[in-house]
Amino acid sequence: MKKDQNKPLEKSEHIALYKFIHNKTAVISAVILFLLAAVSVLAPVLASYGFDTTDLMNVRKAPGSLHILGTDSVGRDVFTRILYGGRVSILVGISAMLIQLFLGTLLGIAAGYYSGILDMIFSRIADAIMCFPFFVIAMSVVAVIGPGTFKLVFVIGFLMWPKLFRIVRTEVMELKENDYIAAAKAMGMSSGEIMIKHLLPNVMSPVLVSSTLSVAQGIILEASLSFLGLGVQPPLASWGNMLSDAQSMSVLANNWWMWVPPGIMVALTVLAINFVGEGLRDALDPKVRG
Amino acid sequence: MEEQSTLLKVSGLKKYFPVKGTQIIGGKRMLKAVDDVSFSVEKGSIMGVIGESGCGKSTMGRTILKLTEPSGGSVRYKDKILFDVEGRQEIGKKELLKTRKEIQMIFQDSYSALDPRQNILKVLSEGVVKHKVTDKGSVKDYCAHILSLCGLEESALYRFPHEFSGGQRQRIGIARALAVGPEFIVCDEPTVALDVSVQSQILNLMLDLKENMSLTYLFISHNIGVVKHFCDKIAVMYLGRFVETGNAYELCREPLHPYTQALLSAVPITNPWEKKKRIYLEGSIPEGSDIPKGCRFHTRCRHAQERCRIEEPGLSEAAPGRFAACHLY
Ligand SMILES: Nc1ncnc2c1ncn2[C@@H]1O[C@H](COP(=O)(O)OP(=O)(O)OP(=O)(O)O)[C@@H](O)[C@H]1O
Ligand SMILES: [Mg+2]
Repeated sequence: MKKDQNKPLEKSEHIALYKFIHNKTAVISAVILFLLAAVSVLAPVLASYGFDTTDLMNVRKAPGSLHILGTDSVGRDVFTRILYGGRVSILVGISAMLIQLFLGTLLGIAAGYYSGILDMIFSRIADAIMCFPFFVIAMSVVAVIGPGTFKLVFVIGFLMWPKLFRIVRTEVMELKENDYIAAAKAMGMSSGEIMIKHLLPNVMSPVLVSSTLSVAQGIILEASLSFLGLGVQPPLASWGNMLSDAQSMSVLANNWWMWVPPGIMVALTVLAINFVGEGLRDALDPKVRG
Repeated sequence: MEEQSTLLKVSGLKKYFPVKGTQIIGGKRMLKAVDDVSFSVEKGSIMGVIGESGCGKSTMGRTILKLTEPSGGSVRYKDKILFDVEGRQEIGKKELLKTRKEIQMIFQDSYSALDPRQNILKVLSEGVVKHKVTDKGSVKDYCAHILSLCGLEESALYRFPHEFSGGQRQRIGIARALAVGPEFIVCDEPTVALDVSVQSQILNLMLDLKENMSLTYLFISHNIGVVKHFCDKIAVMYLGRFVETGNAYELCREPLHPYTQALLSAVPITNPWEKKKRIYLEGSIPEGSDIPKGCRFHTRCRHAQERCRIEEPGLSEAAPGRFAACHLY
């Protein structure tokens, strides 16, 4: 009846690390992500142009010695904008992840631990958010409150928490039946202490995995909304709003350098994050052997 | 028995669980895990509670400690009323916290009783710090001392629960309960998952600790053979209710209730000259959500008569100091 998950085979953290390191895809993805992040952070150093420097003499220039990835419709250096766009995408992805991490974990633990009416209220809200197609609701909300990077972060974070909430809530419902929770109560620990000291550490693995994957989801959502002009606004660069140039048929056909690089960046980042997330999941799951 | 002051008094304790999926118009069906249990425990004594698996022993222990909400009845500890459902009384938060230090519990399943993410120092120090048992600087030394009392090395402090054997984990559970300096401990089958030799080590440890620290135990077990040697009083539980209570020695020498007789007959004989006939219980234990009408034991009783099917017997004094819930007495 009691879950065997509570009987880690060996020191669980060490095993997890071992399994992760021996997962080639995950390690390569982690390295790629690290490089992407480093390059984005160092954008001002690496780029020889400003992200909003226009050069109207050189509009839609193919890649050459002056602009290694060419220029866009108003003569901005595509390579520079890729670097700066990475900053925005990663920042949006991570900030949105933090918001869903906070909401999902907090509400999930509370709902799972207290059950009853509190659980009912939070669960209904989560259901309500989740029953709409993610993208449709994101678009409608942004359409109402207007575009902008900050608003985007909040909308994405707010739409993502129900998923984590459900995971945490289910986990806590099972965890709280363990005798160590009863023992903590018998010691006089308050509900808050029990949730922070016993439940939180024990739900950390699924939270970690889900949150990693949610960064990727956030980046995709940012790209999609920005592509539609509802997200990050030019002249600020984001991979999504760079892609929106590809809405024009002639760009799509004649100026590949304007949309292929940001497209590749989104795909690469999202794939890498997903591989790392899955690597983490396998590493932290005692049932999967390394 | 030197002192005869009552430490714990339980009256009419009830704990019902709603049965899932029965929310039909007639109202929820209830699983009566503990159904009207009354007893008292004298200071310095050991009271045993015996019964088959699923009869509600653990639930009773937890309800007494207020780890789950009681459905009825009252519990008094010393002069404090922990709760009185009928009298709508409940102990205040501050008082409850103080009482928590005095009443502790050792859990049945040592695997689920220790947080897999806490090392032993954290496990032990949680209560020590909460109740300020010792000053901050000496918490570690204090925990090491308690561990050594329970037969574990100081080096265990920095290891995690899964690095220990079942017996060692149970020692840690005992150490955790002892660390806050309790007076009364509910021991919920602390030896059930252990093999026989480790079982007796743990039992001896607990008995030593009881003497040295003048503790009082409520000792839960499904094995009457284990507890009959050291309990002062024994209560036999069947389907959430006590069917027989009495002085341990007399109860085991001459059991009154047919259920107690059956339990005792299943205990292996230690004296080869002793003659004993094994009484086999017919059928299996009924569901707690479906308690038989009349005497709850009649479906398995050798002596069942017409009356037993209709009328539920209450605990009545069959001999001085001995109570049985059976129409035979
Ligand atoms: N939280 C709960 N919700 C619903 N039913 C429960 C709950 N806890 C216990 N029960 C039920 O109450 C009854 C008594 O359970 P309890 O654990 O107290 O038995 P026990 O006498 O300790 O048995 P064992 O010797 O196996 O430990 C069982 O039928 C069990 O299914
Ligand atoms: Mg039990």
